[in-house]
Amino acid sequence: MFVPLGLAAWLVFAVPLTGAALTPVFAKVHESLRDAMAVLVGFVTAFIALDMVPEMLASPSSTDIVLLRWNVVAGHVIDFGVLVDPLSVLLATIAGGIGSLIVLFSVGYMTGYDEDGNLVKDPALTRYYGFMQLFIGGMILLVMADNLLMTFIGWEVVGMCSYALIGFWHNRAQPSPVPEYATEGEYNAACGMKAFMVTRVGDIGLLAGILLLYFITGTFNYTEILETAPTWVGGLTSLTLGLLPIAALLVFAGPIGKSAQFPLHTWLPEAMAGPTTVSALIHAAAMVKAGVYLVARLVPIFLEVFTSVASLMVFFQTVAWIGAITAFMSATMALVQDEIKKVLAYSTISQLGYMFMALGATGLVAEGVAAYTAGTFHLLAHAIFKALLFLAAGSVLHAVQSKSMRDMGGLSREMRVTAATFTVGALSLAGVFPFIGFWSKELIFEALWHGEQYPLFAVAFITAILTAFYTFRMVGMTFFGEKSQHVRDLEAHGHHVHEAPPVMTVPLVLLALAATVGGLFELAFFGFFSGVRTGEAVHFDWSHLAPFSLGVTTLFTVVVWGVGIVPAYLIYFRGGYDFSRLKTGALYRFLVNRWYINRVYHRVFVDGYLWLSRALRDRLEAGLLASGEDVARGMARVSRGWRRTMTGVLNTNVLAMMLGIVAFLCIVLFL
Amino acid sequence: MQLATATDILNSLPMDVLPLMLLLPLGGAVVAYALGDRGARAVTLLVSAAELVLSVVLALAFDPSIAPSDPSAGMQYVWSVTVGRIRAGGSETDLQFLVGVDGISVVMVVLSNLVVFIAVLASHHIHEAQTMYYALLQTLMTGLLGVFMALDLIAFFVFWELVLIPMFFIIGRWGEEGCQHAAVKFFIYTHLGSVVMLVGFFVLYFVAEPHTFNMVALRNMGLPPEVQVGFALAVFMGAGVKLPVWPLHNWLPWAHVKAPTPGSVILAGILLKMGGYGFIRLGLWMVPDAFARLGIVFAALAVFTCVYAALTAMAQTDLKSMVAYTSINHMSWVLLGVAVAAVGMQLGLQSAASLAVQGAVFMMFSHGTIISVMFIMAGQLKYSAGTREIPEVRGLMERAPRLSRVLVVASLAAFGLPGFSGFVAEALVLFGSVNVYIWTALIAFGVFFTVGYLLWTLNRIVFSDPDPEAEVTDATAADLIAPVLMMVPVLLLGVWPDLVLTLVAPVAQFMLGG
Repeated sequence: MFVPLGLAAWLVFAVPLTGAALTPVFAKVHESLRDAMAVLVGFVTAFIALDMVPEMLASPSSTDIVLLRWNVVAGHVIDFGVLVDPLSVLLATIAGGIGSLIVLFSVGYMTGYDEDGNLVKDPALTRYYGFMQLFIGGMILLVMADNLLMTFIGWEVVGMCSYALIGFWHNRAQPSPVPEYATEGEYNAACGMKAFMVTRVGDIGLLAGILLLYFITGTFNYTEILETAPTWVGGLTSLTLGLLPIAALLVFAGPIGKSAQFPLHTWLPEAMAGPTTVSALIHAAAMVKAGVYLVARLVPIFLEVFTSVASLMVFFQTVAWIGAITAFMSATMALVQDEIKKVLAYSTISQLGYMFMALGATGLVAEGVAAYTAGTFHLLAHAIFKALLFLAAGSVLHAVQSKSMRDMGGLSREMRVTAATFTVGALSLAGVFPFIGFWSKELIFEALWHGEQYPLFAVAFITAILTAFYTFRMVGMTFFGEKSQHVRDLEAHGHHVHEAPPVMTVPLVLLALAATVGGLFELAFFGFFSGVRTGEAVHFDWSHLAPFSLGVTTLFTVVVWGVGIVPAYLIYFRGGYDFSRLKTGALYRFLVNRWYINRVYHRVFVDGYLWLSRALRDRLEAGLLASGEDVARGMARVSRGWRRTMTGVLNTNVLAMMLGIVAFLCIVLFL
Repeated sequence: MQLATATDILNSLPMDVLPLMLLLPLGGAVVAYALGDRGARAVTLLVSAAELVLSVVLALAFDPSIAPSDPSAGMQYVWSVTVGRIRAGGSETDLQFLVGVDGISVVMVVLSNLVVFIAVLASHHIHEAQTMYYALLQTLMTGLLGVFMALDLIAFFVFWELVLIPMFFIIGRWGEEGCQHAAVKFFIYTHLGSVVMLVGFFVLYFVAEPHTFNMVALRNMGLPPEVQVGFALAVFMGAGVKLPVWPLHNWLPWAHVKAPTPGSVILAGILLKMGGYGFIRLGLWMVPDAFARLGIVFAALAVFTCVYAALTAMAQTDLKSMVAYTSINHMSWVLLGVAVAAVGMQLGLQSAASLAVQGAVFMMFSHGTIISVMFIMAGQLKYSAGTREIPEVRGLMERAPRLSRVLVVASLAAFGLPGFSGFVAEALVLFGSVNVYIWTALIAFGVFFTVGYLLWTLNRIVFSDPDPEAEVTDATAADLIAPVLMMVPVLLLGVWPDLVLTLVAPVAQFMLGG
């Protein structure tokens, strides 16, 4: 609107990246300037991103703008450019918009009060704000990029920032929550590393997949891959035909890692070690959304090719079922968590599973676009309500100084805004009408139901029940019921639980507002993705679906409320039941140990890797070193033996001389 | 790039630029030796800075384009001096020092001057027998430059060996405990490799008709295939030890760990590149057909070396030794690039081959800069924390924030994060190599392991809880000036790889085209 589209698409990530680079400079001038600039950069980014939205709403289109040409080999040019289409603008808006609110919230959250009531700022805030802006910038770079290579660069920047920010509090001296590390700081640093390493496993697959796709299609550019599809599909040999599904699956390895899907989901719960604002950014705006974005970006391409390469079915099936397994598995894990942030973390994994389910279903159901819309709409919905939940949780943590929900309870009276907004977020997560989560989940249900994907639908349905239950368990334990011992102790020491300052509550209210009315965007979403693909080979059948439709699946949703929310209300709001018996059960242990997946990974990969590297060093490498010594020793022995012939005794010398002369004569005479 | 001003500067020099660059450090060595302890460092700094400026001017003035049928194979600034004549039978051969540069050589010349300059800057902890030290360092510099400029096998060999001797003394005289053993080991390994290569040179001389040591002439001659393969194997021995390739890498961890910090910097930063350059110049450039035949073996060896070195690095407890293994791990990318380029050329995959060669040269430059920083930081750790043993150092971020910051950034660069030059290098080689052999993608595991052990190390020594009893001092500004300066090209090339690639691409194109 105000900024030309071509410029805005560049500025939207150039601004936060520049902001990140300048943060240390501002910090040198004044601390407050640094904080103010971070917030300003956040809002400028959000403004530029939002500025692109009306244009996209008015006329959904796809524009590829090239800025830089890198002439690698004569005739082979890699263009670096941006792709402006509804999907990239949507993601940029989420990253910029929610990111800016999170930065604003940080101004309040990252300060505290010491025992005398003085304002204390975290000393490492320059690092914090720098990386936050880099994180947002990297994420937007990733989504705006018009080619896989540039996306990969943004992808890695995001990964590195997650490492830096999750391990942000690396010097905390409190005891570690797990026995392997001495202090909480070391635990945090290890968690940051874990996040980076586990996602990196997926990145290797992604890079290999990108290379394979380049090998098959001859370009990195999304638009070109799609446009030249008939050409390169026609040119597929039997080798490349077999490689295409493999390439697709390898590319999907990246999203599995970044979006924390089974089997690479293990890093996300540990990522809670970072400040809550960082968790909010990772879960709502950046990082985990990157994986969903990449799949959403590639699904249309694979759909296009799907008509001629039927083996790509394996890609869609894998995406859908990985999503389904993850959604169910992590929902069960969320049931038994005691830390509020852990519950939210597992719910993120589970909700991402929903998105993949829907995106995978795109290739399985007749109403492909409906499933596609459902997946992307759920992405937006989740971004809003998860940011809200995390920030509200941060506000609670800030007030009660504890992570465990057992140390909370009955906070709704003291923290009215937080409690109200948190509840809005929870209702949205549980899929209650009329909040945004209701519409998006309903759409996923519809797409799966009408697409006759009943097994997937069953998983989605059961998971929704579990979601509703654990969400209200969390609300009940935190804000309702009786005050915990910890809270009473705090109050006894004169430290009253209090509402957060406005700099923290304003973002909460804004997000709660978005969660309430966000469902209306569904209409826009239908417009978004229907126009983009008309005229292509794959034509979508829209007949079953209209925006805001209520049907059979709405009944299921109502069942979800009944079966999920009501028991949670009875147990955790009203109280009075004793379930402590269950805690000794095998099922509880199975769930609380995260299905033992984490432990097995640690045993096999971490210990195995160490074992392998030590074995290599101690056996092969040491053997090689020793063999070098052996050669040296052998040479010494030879020379010692040879020296023995040099006796210096005249007789032997003369004898040797005589023999030599005889030998020489023999040679001369007989040869 | 061809800046007119740069050309003017070169024209206004009293003599040709290449011999000037070769003679300047030799003269500097004599002066440094004569001046005594204090002056020696100043003179060496001055000379190495002047050399660096000269080489950058050369790079700016250089026109890298080569005509496809150029008889001199794109060599420019050629200069020669005849030192003798060989009369064998009826023919007569000039024994000469023939030097000249093409795009790849220019890149290597700039790199060697850069690394030596940084090494001199980082030599401020050396107080013992400084005159001798700096004189040796400058002699070494001449040798290094000579290797990258030589166009004559004899000159090449002389310079190649000239590097060896000062390095032997630097490791053995100024190194740590056990350095003499390491120095002898270094000498024997590399010398053995060189001798085999020398035999190869002479075989080539006798096979060539007319007899010649001139590399350009030999290249244009079209040697019989079996001679080419034999020569390629000889080059593999010579350059493979230097690079190093598994299982010829044994000298490296010892020499790197025991050498003084600047010694390690030169070893890793530029000495290993002689191996990579040898593979390109003597192998791919001179006997491409033989390399294409051996390509699959070399590529497999490179992939194995990379993963092997990454795994072994993980198990090291000494930071310097870990960095040394990282060096092996990265240099194997160069061999991979060269090997797949040769194969790709034969298969007609010109663009993939060209990517791989460019990646290989870029990797040499990028690795030379990054690993120098890593070695300086590892050496600095010894001065700051008293030890380099990873399990014994803790909480550096709190105790030594300046040191930690540089170490963290260097580590990120070392494992090839996008934005640093290492990523571009790895990506280029990989893009080329998977087009030729799809299984070379396995080398990506090496990258993955590298990330693993570097981050793990950072977590253990930097982001851990400080040990209250250990005494740690932060690095001073004087300690950090060299590594921070060296990070400039790393970052610059990470976002602007064309700075180097414009010089390399035409040579790659020429090499693969003819």
